[in-house]
Amino acid sequence: MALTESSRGIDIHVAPAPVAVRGVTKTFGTGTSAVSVLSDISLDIAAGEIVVLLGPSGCGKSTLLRLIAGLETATTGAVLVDGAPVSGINLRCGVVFQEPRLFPWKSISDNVLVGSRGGANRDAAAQLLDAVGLTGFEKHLPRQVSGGMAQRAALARGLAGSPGVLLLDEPFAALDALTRLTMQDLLLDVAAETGSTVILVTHDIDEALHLADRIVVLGERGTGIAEVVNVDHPRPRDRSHPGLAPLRAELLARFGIHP
Amino acid sequence: MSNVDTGARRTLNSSVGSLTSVTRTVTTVALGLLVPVSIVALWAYFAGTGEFSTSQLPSPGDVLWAAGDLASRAVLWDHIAISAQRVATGFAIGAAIGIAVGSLVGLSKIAGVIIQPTIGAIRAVPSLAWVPLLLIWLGIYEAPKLTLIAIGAFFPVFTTVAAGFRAVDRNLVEVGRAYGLTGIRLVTQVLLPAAAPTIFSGIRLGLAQSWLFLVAAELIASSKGLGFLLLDSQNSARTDILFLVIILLAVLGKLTDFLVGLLEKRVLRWV
Repeated sequence: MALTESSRGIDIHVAPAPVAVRGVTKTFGTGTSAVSVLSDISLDIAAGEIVVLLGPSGCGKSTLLRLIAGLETATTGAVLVDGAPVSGINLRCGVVFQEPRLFPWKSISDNVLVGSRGGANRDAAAQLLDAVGLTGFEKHLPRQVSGGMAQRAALARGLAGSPGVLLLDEPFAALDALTRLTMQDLLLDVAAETGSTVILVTHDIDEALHLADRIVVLGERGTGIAEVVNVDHPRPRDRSHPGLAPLRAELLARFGIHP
Repeated sequence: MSNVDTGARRTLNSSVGSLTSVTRTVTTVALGLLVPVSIVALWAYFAGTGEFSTSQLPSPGDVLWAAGDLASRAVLWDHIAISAQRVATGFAIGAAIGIAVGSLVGLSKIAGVIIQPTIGAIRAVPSLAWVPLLLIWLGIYEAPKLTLIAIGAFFPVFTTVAAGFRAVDRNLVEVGRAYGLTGIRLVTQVLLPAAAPTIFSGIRLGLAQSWLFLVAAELIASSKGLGFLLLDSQNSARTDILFLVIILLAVLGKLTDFLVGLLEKRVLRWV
């Protein structure tokens, strides 16, 4: 893969934004059918930091991400991006979902431009596609490329608006194991290039250990943050580095798995 | 990266693809003609046995002759032209209103709640029940015919457009919202293209309905058109012309559907 080399020419730098979550709770429904998904979450994320939200399914980690994106509204509490409260869609964020969610009627290049909200031109899209290794596929339709390539295009779209914060909701969960590893390194490359703050949701402990500066472990639904784990390990990380083993064991134990 | 390999394979595929696609088209057309040709053959056979009188079952030759006769007196073209014009106008009106109201109902929940039950009730009225009222209100000339055809075109277009907008993948809408699209831009850039395939199938259904309603409209009060020709040939026991009109309706219906299909292919290249 020549990704790091090709992305060296990328000229998309952003002002990374800090994110502050202040006493956020989220309840779906009302009355007796109300379900508390997040309770009293407070979290400070520094500009340029890579934070992974880790937790069992249904723990509300995606909801937290969607609150930061402005796709959901907190029941109580506030989310601040770059010091300004999020209300409605937060245009300082680029979002990547679990599925590529490309518009099937637009070319790969035009799909990337959707992320720029009309602000970027085709050259910028070409640069981004180069950064994610999709040069030569600009004019292809989403259905003509593989799932991994579509997800790379989605990543390029997420970056196209030069977002201060890149939000990723289990972005690699639907990819095959090898593609997933490649995409993780690609994400680290583009994050390093652009300098965006990255918040990524996953239930994959190894993914969290490979990517994160900090892992925020959420407990069972509605119980809030269970633990925050700093991963003080230099990059590029060796996935099988023995130094990561104690952290992995600790996290697995937290999910009830004792190796 | 394997860009180069993929590119080479693509060119190879496309040249092989165009060859096989020609053969495939020829095969498709040939297979599609199999049944009509067999029907004509059977028809010619039965007409030739002498079992039936020509007023019961004219031969294919009789029908061709009738066509030539009508054409030579320049009446056939008039009938076709006026019918086609009625379908075009009525369909355009009905489909336009269908798209407008369907979009409203499909895009706005509250509009759906308010309008949907009424339209459902109106839809339950057998469409021909409107005829007497239309004749009283609009006279016996073009207006009631066009209105009836428009009613025929409206319902399938309305229903599919509304359903099409409602069935748009919420995930795609969310992407649009997440990247700052709202209001009319969300509609034109996400909802409309996403609903377009369904909208097109509604348009095709509406067009088929239009031909159906054309015949109904022209059977009622007219002195021109294919529906009139049907009634007139029934009254004068010209079964050959009856056959001719039925075949013409089949061909015209299929032809207009084909034209819309071509347009659909052009617009929905990404499907």
